[in-house]
Amino acid sequence: MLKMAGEARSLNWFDTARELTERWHHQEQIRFATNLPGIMTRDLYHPVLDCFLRGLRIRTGTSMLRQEPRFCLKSVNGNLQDSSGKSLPLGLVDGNPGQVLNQAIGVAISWGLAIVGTLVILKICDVLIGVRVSEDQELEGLDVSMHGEEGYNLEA
Amino acid sequence: MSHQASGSAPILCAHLLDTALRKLSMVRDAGDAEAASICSPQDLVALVNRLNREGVTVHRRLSPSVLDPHAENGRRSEVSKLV
Repeated sequence: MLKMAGEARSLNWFDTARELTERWHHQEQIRFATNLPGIMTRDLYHPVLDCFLRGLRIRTGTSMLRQEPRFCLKSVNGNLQDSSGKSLPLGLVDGNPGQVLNQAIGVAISWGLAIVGTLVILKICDVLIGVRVSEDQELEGLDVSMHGEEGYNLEA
Repeated sequence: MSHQASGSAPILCAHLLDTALRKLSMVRDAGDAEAASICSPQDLVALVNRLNREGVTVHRRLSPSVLDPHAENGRRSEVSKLV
């Protein structure tokens, strides 16, 4: 996590996500230590999970739909021609709306591959090494038990 | 040490205060108190550990009423909402 969070340039959303996960985690620890109700709730915990999933970058395939139409202009790419050598329309702007559907199908396939592939890898990892830490490690905090980030752990 | 111990709450509060103040100084005020040379992930971990350790050492000395003067007036302030 620390390695991932230490990128040279951070976008604002990434910085916010980093702060949210850190502060959610520590507040949960403080609440546990002082016998207050936890904050593993839908409105507070789900955004944290969302941040972790963004960290895994499973959304990458979707950028196809955003970027590809730029190259779907026959003035940019005139390689799609009919038998007489005349350039054919490529994307929505040229008058070929079907291209958007093609790309949407492409995105759906990449989502499917990413989801199924991730589940398969998750299952394999679960069987081989386990994907959840012990309860003790969870309560101690993953930044200490997994990443050795123990700077505030004075009694260690 | 486990965070199950109630003694971990002041340490965590000191850490949260330290990182928030550091961030404000660095990002809002473009303060750069010390130049760090980071050449490897180990360097980064060592730097983060050192900054956190130093920050907690200092901020842990502050009393709850110094951190949260409104708490004494019986008002529920931002810090008391946290803990």
